[in-house]
Amino acid sequence: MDDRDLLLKARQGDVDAYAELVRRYSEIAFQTAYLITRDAAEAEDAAQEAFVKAYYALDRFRTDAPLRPWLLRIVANQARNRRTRMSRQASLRLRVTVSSQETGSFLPSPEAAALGLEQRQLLLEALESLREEDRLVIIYRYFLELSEAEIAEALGCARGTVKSRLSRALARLRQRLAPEAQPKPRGELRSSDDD
Amino acid sequence: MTEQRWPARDEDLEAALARLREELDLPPAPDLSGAVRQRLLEGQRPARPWWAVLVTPRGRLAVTLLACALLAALMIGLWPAARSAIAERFGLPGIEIRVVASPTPAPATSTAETHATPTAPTVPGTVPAPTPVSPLFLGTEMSLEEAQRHVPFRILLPVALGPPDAVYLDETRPVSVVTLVYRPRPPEIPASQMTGVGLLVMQFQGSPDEPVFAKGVGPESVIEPVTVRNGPGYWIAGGPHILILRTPSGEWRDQQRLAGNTLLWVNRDLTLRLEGNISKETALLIAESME
Repeated sequence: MDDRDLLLKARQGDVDAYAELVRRYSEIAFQTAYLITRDAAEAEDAAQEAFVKAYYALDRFRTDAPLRPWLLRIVANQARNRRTRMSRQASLRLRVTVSSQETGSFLPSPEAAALGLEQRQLLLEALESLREEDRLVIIYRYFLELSEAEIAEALGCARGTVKSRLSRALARLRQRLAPEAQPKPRGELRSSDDD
Repeated sequence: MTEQRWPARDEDLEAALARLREELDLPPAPDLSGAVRQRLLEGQRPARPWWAVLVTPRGRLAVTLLACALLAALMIGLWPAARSAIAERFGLPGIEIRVVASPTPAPATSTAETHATPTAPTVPGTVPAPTPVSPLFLGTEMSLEEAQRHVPFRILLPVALGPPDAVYLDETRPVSVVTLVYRPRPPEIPASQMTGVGLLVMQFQGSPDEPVFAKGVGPESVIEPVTVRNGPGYWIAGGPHILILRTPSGEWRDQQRLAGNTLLWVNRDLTLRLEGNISKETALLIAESME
Protein backbone atom coordinates (compact mmCIF):
# COMPACT_ATOMS: atom_id res chain seq x y z
CA MET A 1 0.00 0.00 0.00
CA ASP A 2 1.48 3.37 -0.90
CA ASP A 3 1.65 6.49 1.24
CA ARG A 4 -1.36 8.05 -0.41
CA ASP A 5 -3.68 5.13 0.35
CA LEU A 6 -2.50 5.02 3.93
CA LEU A 7 -2.95 8.75 4.19
CA LEU A 8 -6.54 8.60 2.95
CA LYS A 9 -7.33 5.85 5.44
CA ALA A 10 -5.61 7.73 8.25
CA ARG A 11 -7.68 10.80 7.46
CA GLN A 12 -10.80 8.77 8.04
CA GLY A 13 -9.52 7.86 11.48
CA ASP A 14 -7.67 4.62 10.71
CA VAL A 15 -4.99 4.73 13.40
CA ASP A 16 -3.32 1.55 12.14
CA ALA A 17 -2.86 3.03 8.69
CA TYR A 18 -1.29 6.07 10.27
CA ALA A 19 0.96 3.88 12.44
CA GLU A 20 2.27 2.29 9.26
CA LEU A 21 3.17 5.73 7.92
CA VAL A 22 4.87 6.53 11.21
CA ARG A 23 6.87 3.33 10.92
CA ARG A 24 8.03 4.32 7.43
CA TYR A 25 9.15 7.78 8.47
CA SER A 26 10.37 7.10 12.02
CA GLU A 27 14.00 6.91 11.03
CA ILE A 28 14.28 10.13 9.09
CA ALA A 29 12.08 11.96 11.58
CA PHE A 30 14.27 10.83 14.45
CA GLN A 31 17.47 11.69 12.60
CA THR A 32 16.17 15.14 11.74
CA ALA A 33 15.21 15.76 15.35
CA TYR A 34 18.54 14.41 16.59
CA LEU A 35 20.58 16.56 14.21
CA ILE A 36 18.78 19.58 15.65
CA THR A 37 18.59 18.67 19.35
CA ARG A 38 21.72 16.46 19.52
CA ASP A 39 20.02 14.53 22.26
CA ALA A 40 18.52 11.07 21.65
CA ALA A 41 15.76 11.30 24.27
CA GLU A 42 14.71 14.82 23.21
CA ALA A 43 14.82 13.75 19.58
CA GLU A 44 12.57 10.78 20.22
CA ASP A 45 10.08 12.94 22.14
CA ALA A 46 10.15 15.62 19.46
CA ALA A 47 9.56 13.11 16.65
CA GLN A 48 6.76 11.39 18.55
CA GLU A 49 5.07 14.69 19.38
CA ALA A 50 5.40 15.76 15.76
CA PHE A 51 3.70 12.59 14.50
CA VAL A 52 0.82 13.10 16.92
CA LYS A 53 0.50 16.76 15.86
CA ALA A 54 0.64 15.78 12.19
CA TYR A 55 -2.16 13.25 12.69
CA TYR A 56 -4.49 15.93 13.99
CA ALA A 57 -3.46 18.21 11.15
CA LEU A 58 -4.01 15.64 8.40
CA ASP A 59 -7.15 17.31 7.15
CA ARG A 60 -5.10 20.40 6.35
CA PHE A 61 -2.61 18.40 4.28
CA ARG A 62 -3.05 18.23 0.51
CA THR A 63 -3.02 14.53 -0.37
CA ASP A 64 -1.27 15.11 -3.68
CA ALA A 65 1.71 16.78 -1.94
CA PRO A 66 4.68 14.73 -0.77
CA LEU A 67 4.27 13.63 2.83
CA ARG A 68 7.91 13.39 3.88
CA PRO A 69 8.94 17.08 3.78
CA TRP A 70 5.65 18.12 5.39
CA LEU A 71 6.32 15.74 8.27
CA LEU A 72 9.93 16.89 8.54
CA ARG A 73 8.83 20.47 8.84
CA ILE A 74 6.68 19.62 11.84
CA VAL A 75 9.47 17.49 13.30
CA ALA A 76 12.03 20.28 12.83
CA ASN A 77 9.75 22.81 14.52
CA GLN A 78 9.27 20.52 17.49
CA ALA A 79 12.99 19.82 17.69
CA ARG A 80 13.90 23.50 17.52
CA ASN A 81 11.46 24.37 20.26
CA ARG A 82 12.97 21.70 22.43
CA ARG A 83 16.52 22.67 21.64
CA THR A 84 16.03 26.26 22.71
CA ARG A 85 14.64 25.03 26.00
CA MET A 86 17.27 22.39 26.72
CA SER A 87 19.64 22.98 29.61
CA ARG A 88 22.48 20.95 28.13
CA GLN A 89 23.44 22.02 24.65
CA ALA A 90 25.32 18.99 23.38
CA SER A 91 27.21 18.94 20.10
CA LEU A 92 27.19 16.38 17.35
CA ARG A 93 30.02 13.90 17.59
CA LEU A 94 31.99 11.87 15.12
CA ARG A 95 32.41 8.17 15.38
CA VAL A 96 36.16 7.69 15.55
CA THR A 97 36.09 4.03 14.53
CA VAL A 98 36.17 4.75 10.81
CA SER A 99 39.70 4.87 9.49
CA SER A 100 40.19 7.49 6.83
CA GLN A 101 42.74 5.32 5.04
CA GLU A 102 40.28 2.46 4.59
CA THR A 103 37.55 4.40 2.92
CA GLY A 104 39.62 7.15 1.37
CA SER A 105 39.62 5.56 -2.06
CA PHE A 106 35.88 6.13 -2.39
CA LEU A 107 36.27 9.86 -2.18
CA PRO A 108 35.93 11.80 -5.38
CA SER A 109 39.02 13.94 -5.04
CA PRO A 110 42.45 13.69 -3.45
CA GLU A 111 41.87 16.94 -1.63
CA ALA A 112 38.81 15.60 0.10
CA ALA A 113 40.66 12.41 0.85
CA ALA A 114 43.35 14.43 2.54
CA LEU A 115 40.84 15.67 5.03
CA GLY A 116 41.97 13.83 8.13
CA LEU A 117 39.93 13.03 11.19
CA GLU A 118 41.08 16.15 12.97
CA GLN A 119 40.06 18.29 10.05
CA ARG A 120 36.70 16.58 9.84
CA GLN A 121 36.24 17.40 13.47
CA LEU A 122 36.97 21.03 12.61
CA LEU A 123 34.51 20.83 9.75
CA LEU A 124 31.88 19.54 12.14
CA GLU A 125 32.66 22.29 14.64
CA ALA A 126 32.44 24.90 11.91
CA LEU A 127 29.08 23.48 10.90
CA GLU A 128 27.93 23.56 14.52
CA SER A 129 28.95 27.18 14.84
CA LEU A 130 26.73 28.27 11.96
CA ARG A 131 23.41 29.96 12.47
CA GLU A 132 20.49 27.57 12.82
CA GLU A 133 19.13 28.64 9.43
CA ASP A 134 22.40 27.85 7.62
CA ARG A 135 23.02 24.68 9.53
CA LEU A 136 19.56 23.31 8.82
CA VAL A 137 19.78 23.74 5.06
CA ILE A 138 23.15 21.93 5.05
CA ILE A 139 21.79 19.19 7.27
CA TYR A 140 18.79 18.69 4.98
CA ARG A 141 20.87 18.60 1.84
CA TYR A 142 23.93 16.61 2.84
CA PHE A 143 22.95 14.65 5.92
CA LEU A 144 19.34 13.81 5.14
CA GLU A 145 19.83 14.00 1.36
CA LEU A 146 16.57 15.77 0.64
CA SER A 147 15.87 17.15 -2.82
CA GLU A 148 15.62 20.90 -3.35
CA ALA A 149 11.85 20.67 -3.58
CA GLU A 150 11.73 18.75 -0.31
CA ILE A 151 14.07 21.24 1.37
CA ALA A 152 11.83 24.10 0.25
CA GLU A 153 8.79 22.37 1.76
CA ALA A 154 10.64 21.42 4.94
CA LEU A 155 11.97 24.95 5.47
CA GLY A 156 8.75 26.54 4.35
CA CYS A 157 10.46 28.70 1.75
CA ALA A 158 10.09 29.15 -2.00
CA ARG A 159 11.71 26.46 -4.07
CA GLY A 160 13.73 29.01 -6.01
CA THR A 161 15.49 30.25 -2.87
CA VAL A 162 16.85 26.88 -1.76
CA LYS A 163 19.86 27.06 -4.08
CA SER A 164 20.88 30.50 -2.95
CA ARG A 165 20.30 29.65 0.71
CA LEU A 166 22.46 26.60 0.33
CA SER A 167 25.27 28.41 -1.41
CA ARG A 168 25.19 31.19 1.19
CA ALA A 169 25.36 28.58 3.93
CA LEU A 170 28.29 26.85 2.25
CA ALA A 171 30.07 30.19 1.83
CA ARG A 172 29.66 30.93 5.53
CA LEU A 173 30.83 27.44 6.39
CA ARG A 174 33.89 28.02 4.26
CA GLN A 175 34.48 31.32 6.06
CA ARG A 176 34.49 29.56 9.40
CA LEU A 177 37.00 27.10 8.03
CA ALA A 178 39.37 29.82 6.83
CA PRO A 179 42.60 29.78 8.88
CA GLU A 180 42.10 33.29 10.27
CA ALA A 181 38.69 32.33 11.57
CA GLN A 182 39.95 29.25 13.34
CA PRO A 183 41.32 30.49 16.66
CA LYS A 184 37.80 30.90 18.03
CA PRO A 185 35.52 28.36 16.44
CA ARG A 186 33.34 28.15 19.55
CA GLY A 187 32.66 30.08 22.71
CA GLU A 188 30.54 33.16 23.23
CA LEU A 189 30.05 33.84 19.58
CA ARG A 190 28.42 30.53 19.17
CA SER A 191 25.63 30.91 21.65
CA SER A 192 24.68 34.31 20.32
CA ASP A 193 24.60 32.85 16.83
CA ASP A 194 22.16 30.22 17.95
CA ASP A 195 19.69 32.70 19.26
CA MET B 1 49.49 28.90 6.42
CA THR B 2 49.69 28.80 2.64
CA GLU B 3 48.88 25.13 2.71
CA GLN B 4 45.49 24.28 1.21
CA ARG B 5 43.74 22.78 4.21
CA TRP B 6 40.18 22.95 3.04
CA PRO B 7 38.60 21.86 -0.22
CA ALA B 8 38.91 24.73 -2.64
CA ARG B 9 35.91 23.86 -4.74
CA ASP B 10 32.29 23.61 -3.68
CA GLU B 11 32.09 20.02 -4.95
CA ASP B 12 34.89 19.05 -2.59
CA LEU B 13 33.30 20.77 0.36
CA GLU B 14 30.07 18.99 -0.53
CA ALA B 15 31.90 15.68 -0.74
CA ALA B 16 33.46 16.37 2.65
CA LEU B 17 30.02 17.06 4.10
CA ALA B 18 28.55 13.91 2.58
CA ARG B 19 31.42 11.95 4.07
CA LEU B 20 30.98 13.65 7.41
CA ARG B 21 27.42 12.36 7.47
CA GLU B 22 28.73 8.79 7.26
CA GLU B 23 30.92 9.37 10.28
CA LEU B 24 28.43 11.13 12.50
CA ASP B 25 27.70 9.35 15.71
CA LEU B 26 23.94 9.00 15.21
CA PRO B 27 22.05 6.94 17.76
CA PRO B 28 19.88 4.15 16.30
CA ALA B 29 16.47 5.46 15.30
CA PRO B 30 13.57 3.99 17.28
CA ASP B 31 10.36 2.81 15.60
CA LEU B 32 7.84 5.30 16.89
CA SER B 33 4.74 3.71 15.35
CA GLY B 34 3.77 1.78 18.50
CA ALA B 35 4.04 4.76 20.81
CA VAL B 36 2.26 7.11 18.42
CA ARG B 37 -0.51 4.57 17.78
CA GLN B 38 -0.98 4.19 21.52
CA ARG B 39 -1.23 7.93 22.04
CA LEU B 40 -3.74 8.31 19.24
CA LEU B 41 -5.89 5.48 20.58
CA GLU B 42 -5.84 7.04 24.02
CA GLY B 43 -6.88 10.28 22.40
CA GLN B 44 -3.94 12.20 23.80
CA ARG B 45 -3.91 15.43 21.95
CA PRO B 46 -0.55 17.10 21.43
CA ALA B 47 0.51 19.56 24.07
CA ARG B 48 -0.60 23.04 23.14
CA PRO B 49 0.91 26.28 24.27
CA TRP B 50 -1.26 28.10 26.82
CA TRP B 51 -2.14 30.85 24.37
CA ALA B 52 -3.44 28.38 21.80
CA VAL B 53 -6.78 28.64 23.56
CA LEU B 54 -7.13 32.11 22.07
CA VAL B 55 -7.18 30.71 18.55
CA THR B 56 -10.31 28.64 18.85
CA PRO B 57 -13.67 30.43 18.87
CA ARG B 58 -14.75 28.58 21.99
CA GLY B 59 -11.45 29.49 23.69
CA ARG B 60 -11.89 33.12 22.79
CA LEU B 61 -15.37 33.10 24.23
CA ALA B 62 -14.12 31.45 27.42
CA VAL B 63 -11.31 33.98 27.77
CA THR B 64 -13.72 36.85 27.20
CA LEU B 65 -16.12 35.50 29.81
CA LEU B 66 -13.26 34.96 32.23
CA ALA B 67 -12.03 38.51 31.66
CA CYS B 68 -15.52 39.85 32.34
CA ALA B 69 -15.81 37.75 35.48
CA LEU B 70 -12.46 38.99 36.76
CA LEU B 71 -13.40 42.57 36.00
CA ALA B 72 -16.64 42.10 37.90
CA ALA B 73 -14.79 40.54 40.82
CA LEU B 74 -12.39 43.46 40.83
CA MET B 75 -15.17 46.00 40.84
CA ILE B 76 -17.05 44.47 43.73
CA GLY B 77 -13.90 44.15 45.76
CA LEU B 78 -13.44 40.44 45.54
CA TRP B 79 -10.15 40.79 43.70
CA PRO B 80 -7.80 39.81 46.55
CA ALA B 81 -9.78 36.64 47.15
CA ALA B 82 -9.75 35.79 43.48
CA ARG B 83 -6.06 36.47 43.28
CA SER B 84 -5.41 34.32 46.26
CA ALA B 85 -7.18 31.40 44.63
CA ILE B 86 -5.14 31.86 41.50
CA ALA B 87 -1.94 32.34 43.40
CA GLU B 88 -2.32 29.00 45.09
CA ARG B 89 -1.76 27.36 41.78
CA PHE B 90 1.32 29.46 41.21
CA GLY B 91 3.71 27.45 43.36
CA LEU B 92 6.98 26.03 42.13
CA PRO B 93 8.96 23.41 44.03
CA GLY B 94 10.17 25.17 47.17
CA ILE B 95 8.29 28.37 46.52
CA GLU B 96 4.72 29.39 47.02
CA ILE B 97 3.33 32.64 45.78
CA ARG B 98 0.88 34.24 48.12
CA VAL B 99 -1.15 37.37 47.87
CA VAL B 100 -0.72 39.64 50.87
CA ALA B 101 -2.78 42.69 51.70
CA SER B 102 0.22 44.96 51.79
CA PRO B 103 3.70 43.86 50.95
CA THR B 104 5.23 46.93 52.59
CA PRO B 105 8.21 45.62 54.56
CA ALA B 106 9.62 47.56 57.46
CA PRO B 107 7.30 49.97 59.27
CA ALA B 108 10.11 52.52 59.12
CA THR B 109 9.98 52.83 55.35
CA SER B 110 6.85 53.75 53.51
CA THR B 111 6.32 52.05 50.19
CA ALA B 112 5.63 55.31 48.41
CA GLU B 113 8.91 56.80 49.54
CA THR B 114 11.01 53.83 48.68
CA HIS B 115 9.66 53.75 45.20
CA ALA B 116 9.80 57.45 44.54
CA THR B 117 13.43 57.98 45.57
CA PRO B 118 16.07 56.19 43.60
CA THR B 119 18.79 56.16 46.20
CA ALA B 120 21.40 53.98 44.58
CA PRO B 121 23.69 55.44 41.96
CA THR B 122 23.74 53.79 38.57
CA VAL B 123 27.20 54.95 37.52
CA PRO B 124 29.85 52.21 37.22
CA GLY B 125 32.64 52.64 39.71
CA THR B 126 30.55 54.46 42.28
CA VAL B 127 28.22 51.56 42.93
CA PRO B 128 28.48 49.83 46.27
CA ALA B 129 30.48 46.66 46.57
CA PRO B 130 28.48 43.47 47.13
CA THR B 131 29.32 43.46 50.84
CA PRO B 132 26.30 45.52 51.91
CA VAL B 133 24.06 42.61 51.05
CA SER B 134 25.12 40.55 54.03
CA PRO B 135 22.25 41.91 56.16
CA LEU B 136 19.94 40.44 53.55
CA PHE B 137 20.27 37.11 55.30
CA LEU B 138 21.69 35.31 52.37
CA GLY B 139 23.81 33.16 54.66
CA THR B 140 27.56 32.88 54.86
CA GLU B 141 29.82 34.36 52.24
CA MET B 142 32.28 31.90 50.73
CA SER B 143 34.01 31.05 47.50
CA LEU B 144 32.09 29.37 44.71
CA GLU B 145 34.25 26.25 45.11
CA GLU B 146 33.53 26.07 48.80
CA ALA B 147 29.79 26.51 48.29
CA GLN B 148 29.88 23.80 45.63
CA ARG B 149 31.45 21.38 48.13
CA HIS B 150 28.58 21.97 50.55
CA VAL B 151 25.64 21.34 48.23
CA PRO B 152 24.52 18.10 46.55
CA PHE B 153 23.70 19.76 43.23
CA ARG B 154 25.92 21.38 40.64
CA ILE B 155 25.67 25.15 41.03
CA LEU B 156 24.46 26.73 37.78
CA LEU B 157 26.06 29.96 36.62
CA PRO B 158 24.64 32.49 34.18
CA VAL B 159 27.03 32.32 31.24
CA ALA B 160 25.72 35.68 30.12
CA LEU B 161 27.13 37.34 33.24
CA GLY B 162 30.28 35.38 33.99
CA PRO B 163 31.45 34.51 37.51
CA PRO B 164 29.53 36.08 40.40
CA ASP B 165 30.96 38.92 42.48
CA ALA B 166 30.03 37.12 45.69
CA VAL B 167 28.60 33.76 46.69
CA TYR B 168 26.54 33.02 49.79
CA LEU B 169 25.38 29.74 51.23
CA ASP B 170 22.50 29.51 53.68
CA GLU B 171 22.26 26.19 55.44
CA THR B 172 19.80 27.30 58.07
CA ARG B 173 16.73 26.54 55.97
CA PRO B 174 15.16 23.17 55.25
CA VAL B 175 17.36 22.98 52.15
CA SER B 176 20.67 24.63 51.35
CA VAL B 177 20.26 27.81 49.34
CA VAL B 178 23.08 29.18 47.21
CA THR B 179 22.93 32.85 46.27
CA LEU B 180 25.08 34.43 43.59
CA VAL B 181 25.45 38.20 43.88
CA TYR B 182 26.26 40.44 40.94
CA ARG B 183 27.23 44.09 41.02
CA PRO B 184 25.12 46.48 38.98
CA ARG B 185 25.93 46.71 35.29
CA PRO B 186 24.00 49.66 33.99
CA PRO B 187 22.04 50.22 31.92
CA GLU B 188 20.70 46.66 31.63
CA ILE B 189 21.28 45.81 35.26
CA PRO B 190 20.91 48.90 37.44
CA ALA B 191 21.54 48.90 41.16
CA SER B 192 18.62 47.82 43.27
CA GLN B 193 17.07 50.81 45.00
CA MET B 194 16.92 48.90 48.23
CA THR B 195 20.12 46.89 48.30
CA GLY B 196 22.58 48.53 45.95
CA VAL B 197 23.41 45.24 44.29
CA GLY B 198 22.60 44.43 40.69
CA LEU B 199 21.27 40.92 40.76
CA LEU B 200 20.63 38.08 43.12
CA VAL B 201 20.46 34.55 41.74
CA MET B 202 19.27 31.97 44.24
CA GLN B 203 19.13 28.25 43.63
CA PHE B 204 18.19 25.22 45.66
CA GLN B 205 16.62 21.81 45.36
CA GLY B 206 13.00 22.57 46.03
CA SER B 207 10.31 20.17 47.10
CA PRO B 208 6.67 20.89 46.31
CA ASP B 209 5.63 19.80 49.78
CA GLU B 210 7.93 22.01 51.74
CA PRO B 211 8.21 25.56 50.51
CA VAL B 212 11.34 27.37 51.57
CA PHE B 213 10.26 30.73 50.27
CA ALA B 214 6.95 32.36 49.88
CA LYS B 215 6.51 35.39 47.71
CA GLY B 216 4.16 37.95 49.13
CA VAL B 217 2.64 39.63 46.17
CA GLY B 218 0.60 42.81 46.30
CA PRO B 219 -2.52 43.27 44.20
CA GLU B 220 -0.67 45.51 41.70
CA SER B 221 1.87 42.88 40.79
CA VAL B 222 1.70 41.02 37.55
CA ILE B 223 2.31 37.30 37.72
CA GLU B 224 3.04 35.93 34.29
CA PRO B 225 3.76 32.29 33.51
CA VAL B 226 6.95 31.84 31.49
CA THR B 227 9.05 28.96 30.24
CA VAL B 228 12.79 28.83 30.76
CA ARG B 229 14.50 26.03 28.89
CA ASN B 230 11.58 23.67 29.15
CA GLY B 231 11.01 24.44 32.82
CA PRO B 232 7.97 26.27 34.18
CA GLY B 233 8.41 29.66 35.74
CA TYR B 234 6.83 32.97 36.70
CA TRP B 235 7.76 36.52 36.05
CA ILE B 236 6.62 38.79 38.85
CA ALA B 237 6.78 42.51 38.23
CA GLY B 238 4.95 45.75 38.31
CA GLY B 239 4.35 46.18 42.00
CA PRO B 240 5.96 45.70 45.37
CA HIS B 241 6.35 42.17 46.56
CA ILE B 242 8.35 40.73 49.39
CA LEU B 243 10.11 37.56 50.16
CA ILE B 244 8.93 35.50 53.08
CA LEU B 245 11.66 33.22 54.34
CA ARG B 246 11.09 29.92 56.00
CA THR B 247 13.68 28.77 58.46
CA PRO B 248 13.59 25.77 60.77
CA SER B 249 12.72 28.15 63.58
CA GLY B 250 9.72 29.54 61.75
CA GLU B 251 8.68 31.99 59.15
CA TRP B 252 9.46 35.67 58.91
CA ARG B 253 9.00 38.39 56.41
CA ASP B 254 12.02 39.95 54.87
CA GLN B 255 12.28 43.31 56.62
CA GLN B 256 15.23 44.56 54.67
CA ARG B 257 13.98 45.28 51.24
CA LEU B 258 11.29 44.95 48.69
CA ALA B 259 12.22 42.45 46.09
CA GLY B 260 12.87 43.83 42.64
CA ASN B 261 11.38 42.23 39.59
CA THR B 262 11.66 38.52 40.04
CA LEU B 263 11.91 35.53 37.78
CA LEU B 264 11.17 32.20 39.42
CA TRP B 265 11.74 29.04 37.46
CA VAL B 266 12.58 25.36 37.59
CA ASN B 267 15.52 23.77 35.85
CA ARG B 268 15.41 19.98 36.27
CA ASP B 269 15.65 19.41 40.02
CA LEU B 270 16.65 22.99 40.84
CA THR B 271 14.40 25.88 41.65
CA LEU B 272 15.92 29.21 40.76
CA ARG B 273 15.09 32.78 41.57
CA LEU B 274 16.51 35.80 39.83
CA GLU B 275 15.91 39.20 41.32
CA GLY B 276 16.84 42.69 40.19
CA ASN B 277 15.51 45.86 38.66
CA ILE B 278 15.72 44.36 35.22
CA SER B 279 13.40 43.90 32.29
CA LYS B 280 11.69 40.61 31.63
CA GLU B 281 13.78 40.21 28.47
CA THR B 282 17.04 40.65 30.36
CA ALA B 283 15.88 38.27 33.08
CA LEU B 284 14.93 35.58 30.56
CA LEU B 285 18.20 36.04 28.69
CA ILE B 286 20.19 35.56 31.88
CA ALA B 287 18.04 32.63 33.01
CA GLU B 288 18.37 30.89 29.66
CA SER B 289 22.14 31.16 29.92
CA MET B 290 22.38 29.29 33.26
CA GLU B 291 24.68 26.33 32.74
